[in-house]
Amino acid sequence: MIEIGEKVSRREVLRIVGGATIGLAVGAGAGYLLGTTITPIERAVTQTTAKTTTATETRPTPTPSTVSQSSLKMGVITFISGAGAVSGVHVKNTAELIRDWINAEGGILGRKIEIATIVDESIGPAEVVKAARKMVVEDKVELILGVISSSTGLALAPVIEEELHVVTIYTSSTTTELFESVDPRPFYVFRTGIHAGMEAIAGARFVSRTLPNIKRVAGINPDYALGRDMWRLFLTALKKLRPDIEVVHEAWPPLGSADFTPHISALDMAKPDLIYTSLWGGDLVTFIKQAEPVGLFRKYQFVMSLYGSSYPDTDKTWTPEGLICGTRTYWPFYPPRWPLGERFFREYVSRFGKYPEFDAEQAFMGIYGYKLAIEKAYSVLGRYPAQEDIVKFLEGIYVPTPSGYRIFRREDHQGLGYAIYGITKHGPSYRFPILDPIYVLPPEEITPPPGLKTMDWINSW
Amino acid sequence: MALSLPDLVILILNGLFYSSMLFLIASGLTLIFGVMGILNVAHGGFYALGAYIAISLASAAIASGAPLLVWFLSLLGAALIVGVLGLAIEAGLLRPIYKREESYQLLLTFGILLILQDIVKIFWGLLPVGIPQLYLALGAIEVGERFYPIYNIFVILSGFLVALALWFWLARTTSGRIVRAASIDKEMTAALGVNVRSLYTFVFGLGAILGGLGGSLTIPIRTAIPGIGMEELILSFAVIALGGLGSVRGAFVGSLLIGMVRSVGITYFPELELAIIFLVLALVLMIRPTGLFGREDKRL
Repeated sequence: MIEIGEKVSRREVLRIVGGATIGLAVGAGAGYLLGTTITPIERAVTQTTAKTTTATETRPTPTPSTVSQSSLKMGVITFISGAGAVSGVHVKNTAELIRDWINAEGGILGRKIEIATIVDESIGPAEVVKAARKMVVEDKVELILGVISSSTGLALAPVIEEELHVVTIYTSSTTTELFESVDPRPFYVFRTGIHAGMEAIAGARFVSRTLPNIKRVAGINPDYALGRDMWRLFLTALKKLRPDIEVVHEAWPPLGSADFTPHISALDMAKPDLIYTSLWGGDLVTFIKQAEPVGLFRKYQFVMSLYGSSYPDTDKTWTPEGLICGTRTYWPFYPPRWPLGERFFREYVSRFGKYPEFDAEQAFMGIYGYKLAIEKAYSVLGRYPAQEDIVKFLEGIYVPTPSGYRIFRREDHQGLGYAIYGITKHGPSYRFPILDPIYVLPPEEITPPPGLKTMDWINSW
Repeated sequence: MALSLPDLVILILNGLFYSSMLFLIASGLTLIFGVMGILNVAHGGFYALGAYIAISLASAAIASGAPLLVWFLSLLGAALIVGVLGLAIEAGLLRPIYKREESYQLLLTFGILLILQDIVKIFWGLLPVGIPQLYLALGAIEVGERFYPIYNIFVILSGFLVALALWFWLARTTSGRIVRAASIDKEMTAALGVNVRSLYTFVFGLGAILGGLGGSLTIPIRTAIPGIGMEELILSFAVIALGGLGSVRGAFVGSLLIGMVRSVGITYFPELELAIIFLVLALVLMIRPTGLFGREDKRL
């Protein structure tokens, strides 16, 4: 190599420049080729566009001549790789499925939806924010959908509100801090998934009603925003309902942990009556696999608030019965599906070869709510709505989803819905355990009133 | 928390399990560094490939109704396949750059790691996969009122076996002695008539087998996701720094120490899982900067 101070010959310069150029060209070419490859597994299950013959809640959309027919670009942010992909894949699948549904019926006011880009959340909050900027500025997306990780959601919200000014509908990112601390008067940001507080309170109410003898409580939660949030809220709510409970152990494995066995042993040593976990996605699957042979489920009652995110990837051979599980607002197996839910379930399963979990329902509400808001705005304003108009019409709009009617609350853009908890049971029809019986906790029991922080609401009971 | 005897036994077993996994990766890393002077970052990729290939082979064995022994042999088979890949990588990619500075080698092995990670994504997809059937088949033994999976004991024993075999080979056999000689003085060994080029290829392949074995042995009790192996790689760096770069004995002691520290740490200080490991490392390095069994000339 060249040393400083040495005279550089022309040959050296040419060699370096030439090498760098070739290197860049090869790298760019390889990157392009790799970027257009899809995995063999995805190729096997992806099928052509869904047919729209069954009756649904949708009406054929008007194609006004005053609206430009340019395509409506949407950006999707979700986990495509890693443990989070167990949940993230459902957001991506639903985005594609509902895009095709809506386009088959004429699009939104005649404009076809196009997924301009899908960003992998596992690149981390800082990189997602950069990607979001690129999406808005370069790709000109008019809707950002997705975000599962609470950390990413907290990092992105201020940037959307202050800088990017595009309707952004979070499907998850359910930490209460989003609309209670970081973005308390949201404008562009909405959230479809019911938040950690609602789920934790639902779990606490369920436990206090059905398990009278619980005294010693332990927790194993992922050590990041959501895990901390859910454990804190669950404990506070449970303590309000059952003042004599005591915490005997708290385990805090990092998100994406590979080896839970020492945490499992520590929980076992603490001899709790109940173990609460907000582990989700691939982490929960790994945890169940590692806890089962140690007999943890035979000895202690478990409450898994986010089982619904992982249920399609569990298996009767290593996932026992009797687990108390939460699954947000979507459990497609019981009660019987209404027409929209039925159509969604059938088409999802046949197109993707997977059973949908609550991230799918949450993504549905996002895209479909957006479409309904634009159509309503057009009918009122007589013109294609701007981002600021869409926001006003998204607030308070009723959106039919696979789990029923849901609404975006006006004050804090939070999606409202019921919370489902159930008990795992092995049935003959599916490889994974189903939830039977199912308990539905209505919004009034679990939702803090607008303007009141969840913690303050619990403390006021 | 009071510690009963069964609890203590389980605590130790948990520590030994993680130590075994670390040792398998770290031994390969330290061997490659000791003999060839290369810090092989691609080792994380060997771990990942070992895990994924094991899943494919074992799934095929299970699906075809083969007996249990074949399932376990497929884990070994996966490691051997990774070894062959290691041979190819050394001969094809690493050999041309031995004359260059060490930073080139580091960059190259890092590039290989990225390529291996993408290969995993292309062939096995992005969603988690696993083969829990292997550990379910072995069941669990009772330790007092607690249970411990027999599969984990199998991993611990395998780790010890590999450690024993490595020690025996390096200390007692001719080929092992030659490898040790090459790690001390490459030029002299070559002058004595040893084909150092083939030796390098062989050592790299062996290191790859060990890394792959680390992945394949531990995957039945875990789930394979893209990016698997990175956390273990970083901890293995800590292990070999602690034990002394280039020392297999150091890797053994280092992985034992870190595995046990982690097990105790999680039980009593659950939030300091990672911090406590690096605290111990910092402590040891302050007292002995070359690591416990390290040599002056092998410092990075």
